[in-house]
Amino acid sequence: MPGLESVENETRARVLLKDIEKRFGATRALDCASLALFAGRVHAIVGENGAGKSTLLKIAGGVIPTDRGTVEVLGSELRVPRGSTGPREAIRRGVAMVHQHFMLVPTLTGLENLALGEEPTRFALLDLAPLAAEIERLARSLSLEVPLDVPVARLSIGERQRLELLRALRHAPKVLVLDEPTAVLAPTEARAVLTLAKELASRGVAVALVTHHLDEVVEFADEVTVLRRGKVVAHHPVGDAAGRDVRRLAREAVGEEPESVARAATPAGAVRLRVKNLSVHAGEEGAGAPLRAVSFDVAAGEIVGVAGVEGNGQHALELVLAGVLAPASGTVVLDGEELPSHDRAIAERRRRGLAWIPSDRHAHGMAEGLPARDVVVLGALAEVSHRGLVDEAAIDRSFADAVQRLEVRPDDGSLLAGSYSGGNQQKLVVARELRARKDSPLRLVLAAQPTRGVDVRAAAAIRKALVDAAGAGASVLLVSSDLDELRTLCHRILVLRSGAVAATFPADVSVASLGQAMLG
Amino acid sequence: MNARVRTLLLATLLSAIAFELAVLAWGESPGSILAQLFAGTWGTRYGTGQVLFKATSIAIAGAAAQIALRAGLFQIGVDGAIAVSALAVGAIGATLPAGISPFVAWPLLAGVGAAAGAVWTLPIGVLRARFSAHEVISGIMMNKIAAATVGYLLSRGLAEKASVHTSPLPLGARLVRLGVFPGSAANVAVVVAIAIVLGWAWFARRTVFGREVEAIGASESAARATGIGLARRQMQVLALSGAVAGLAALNDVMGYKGYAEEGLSGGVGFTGLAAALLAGRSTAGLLFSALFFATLSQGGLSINARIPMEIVDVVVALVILFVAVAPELDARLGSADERPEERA
Repeated sequence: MPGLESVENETRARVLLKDIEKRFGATRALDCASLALFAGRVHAIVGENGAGKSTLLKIAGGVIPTDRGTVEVLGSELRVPRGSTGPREAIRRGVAMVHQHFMLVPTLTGLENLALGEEPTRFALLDLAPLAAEIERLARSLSLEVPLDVPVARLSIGERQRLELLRALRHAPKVLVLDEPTAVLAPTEARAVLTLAKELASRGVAVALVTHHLDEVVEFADEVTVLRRGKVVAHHPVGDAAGRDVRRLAREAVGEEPESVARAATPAGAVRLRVKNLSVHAGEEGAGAPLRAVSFDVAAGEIVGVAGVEGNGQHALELVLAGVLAPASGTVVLDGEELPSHDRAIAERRRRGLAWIPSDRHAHGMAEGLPARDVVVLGALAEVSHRGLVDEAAIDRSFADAVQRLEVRPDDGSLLAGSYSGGNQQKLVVARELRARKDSPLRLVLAAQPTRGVDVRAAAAIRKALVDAAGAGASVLLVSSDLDELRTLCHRILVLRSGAVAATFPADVSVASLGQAMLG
Repeated sequence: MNARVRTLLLATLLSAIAFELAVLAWGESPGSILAQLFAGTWGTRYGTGQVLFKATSIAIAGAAAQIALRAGLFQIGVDGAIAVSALAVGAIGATLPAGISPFVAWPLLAGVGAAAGAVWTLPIGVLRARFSAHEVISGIMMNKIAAATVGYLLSRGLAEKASVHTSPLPLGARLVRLGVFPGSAANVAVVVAIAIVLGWAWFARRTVFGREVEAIGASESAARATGIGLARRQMQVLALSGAVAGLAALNDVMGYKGYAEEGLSGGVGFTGLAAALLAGRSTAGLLFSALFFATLSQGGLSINARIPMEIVDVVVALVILFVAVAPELDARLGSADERPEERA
C-alpha cells in the first residue's frame, strides 16, 4: 500500500503509525493509513477537509485511540485506553501537539494557561514567578514573545498561537505535531512559525505539519504525505520533482484541479454600505484591538477587501458590522438606512439582507451539538417552515444543496456538526450564509476569513460564491489574511493598521505595497 | 441500545444495590422489604393509583424543567411556580358558583394555573435575558419569595376562617378520580401529564420555536449571531416552563385535596427537575423517571414502619449521582465488548 514503502528504517522513526483505521459512527475517517515521523525532518500532511489529517495527528499525539493498526512512539507501542482523559503518556514520551483549535482558557492569563496542569508551587502555594522567567527565556530564544500577564481573551489570534507553541515547546519535545498552525495567521506570522518548525527540526525534533498551503510544503517540508478520504494516496520526499510540484500535489489531494476564480468587471452600482467614523474602544467584548474613526463605502456589486496584520482592528470592524458589538461612535448605513446597534441589532441586520461568514466559527457560526443539517438552516428556519412548523424535507434539501455546492463531507446531515472536520464545518456555515434566498435578497456579505482552513477546491467554491453574490448586486466586504485571495477577488483593498484605514489600493496592487502598508 | 436508556438502567441497578446494602445495614432483610415495597406500590390497585397520582405531578414538573433545559436554562424555580399556581387555583376556584359545570371550571382553572405559573416565572426570564442574572440564583430567590408570599396571603384572608387552607372548590371544579384505582388520589390529571410530555416532544421537534430553543441550548452566542431573537426566546421559554409548572397544581388542588394550602406540592418541583435531568431530552425517559421517583416515594411510605423512609430519599439522591457518572462508567465497562462489534 502507498506510504508504507517509505518506512525504510523503522527503528529510526520517532513516531510510526502503521495501518491505522479509525471510524466515527458510520464514517471511516482513516483507512489503513501509515505515517512515519523522523528526527530532523519536517513531514507535511496535506489533503482536503475531512481527508483525515487531524484524526491522524490526534492518533499520533496519543489524544485518541486507533480502532486498528499500531502506534509506535520512540520504538515502543503507545496504547491509548478508551475513556482516557488525555494524551498523558504521549506527552511523557516527548510528543507535543498544537491543535487546530486553541486549547486555552480565555479568562486566564497566558502564564496561567501555561501553568495549567503542572502548577509550580512554593511552600504549597502557587508560585508563578520562576515559570514566568522560564517562559520568557524560552520565548526570547525562539522569538515567540507574547504578553504573559494579559487574559487570553484579549490576545490576538497570532499571540494565542504563539502561546500554544510555547506550551508545546516548554518541555523540549522530541516530536512536535502541528495541526494547521498557519491557518489562522497572517502571512508574516505564518512564515515565522514555519521557520521555527524548520529550525526545531534542524535541532533534531521530528515535526509533523498539517497545512493547506502547498507552497509552504515546498518551502519548509522535507517530505510530504497526501491523504484523500482517509487513505494515504501519495508520499514524496520534497527533494523529488514530484514533491516540489505543487500542481501535482493539489491534483493528488483533490483528484482534479479546481478552476480559478476572479472578480467580475468593475461594478458600476450605487453605494450600498456606508461606514462613517466608526470607533470601538480597546478591550470591548471579544473585539481585541480598537477601531479608530474608520470610514469607507462599498457599492452594489463591489468586493472590497480588508487587509492587515492580525490584531489591527479587523475583528472589531467585523463584530460592529455584524451587530454583535455596539460601536463607541460612528454610523453604519445600508441602502440609505442606518443600521441599529441595540440588542436586536443582529436580527435586524439579518432581516435587511446581511450574510455573515464569521472569523470565529465556534462563537458566531455554528454549534457543535447540533446536527449538521440544522447548522445549514441555523437562524434561517423561517425559510424552511410554514406557519411555525418546520419542514424537514426542506431542511434536507438545504443540506443536500450544501453538499452539492461545497462538497461537504460526510454527507450525512444527521451527524453532529462537531464531528465534522474544521474545514467541513466552515463549508456548512458558508453554505448557509450564501444560500439562495427567496424573500429578502442578499444586500451585504460580510466574509471574514471565509476560506481559512478550507481545502483548495472548497476555497475555490467559496470564492466563486462570493463573486456570484457580488454579481447579483450585493456589496461584499472580505476580511482576509490571504493577500492573493484579496488581490484576485477584490475591486479595492483597504489596509487596516492600528485600527485605522492606513491605505486604499486598487485591485492590481503588488503584495509588496500591501505588505508595506500593513506594517507601516 | 440507546445510550440514555442504558444509563438509566445502569443507574437503577446500582441504586438498587445501594438500597439493599442500606436495608441490610439497618438489620432488615432486603428480600422482604423489597416485597413489601412492591406490594405497597404496584402490588395493589390502590398502590398503583397512588404511584400514578404522584407520577402525574412529577411528570408535569419534569416537563416544565425539561422545556427550560432544552434552551440550556436550569429552571430551579419550578417549585415556586407550582406553589403560587396552587394558591391561585385554590383561591379563584373557591369563588366559583356551587353548580358550575366541569366543562367551564376545568379549562378556566387550568388557565388560571398556567397564567399564574407563567407570570411568576417570567421575571426569571427577564432577569436572565435583560440583565444577565443567572437563572439558578433568581430561581432560588423566586422560590423563597413564593413560599413566603403563599403563607402571607393565606394568613391574610385567603384561607378559610380558623383553617390554614382555602375554601373548598365546588364539586364541578374537582377532577374526576380514576375508579379503577379505588381509594387512591389518581385522577384525570394523569392524562394532562401525558399530553404535556408528548406535546412538548412534538413541539420541540416540529416547531420553529422548539428548534430555535434547541439552537440556543447548543450555543447561545451562535444562536444570537445567526439572528435568533435570543432574549425574546429565553423569556418565552421560561414563561412556557412556568405555565406548564402551573398545571402541576391541578393534580393536587383539583384532583386530590379540593383546596390549596401551604406546602401542598411538597417539593415536587425539585423532584421534577431531578426527573428531567435523569431523562435528558428523552420523552420516554421523562415518563419512566417520573414513575420511578413516584414508586420510590410511595414505596417509602409503605415500608416506613420497618425502616425509615429517609433511606428512600438517600436512594433517590444516589440515583441522581449514578446517572451523573453512568455515561463515563458505561464507556469504560463497554470498551471490552464494543471493540469486536466495530471491527465486524
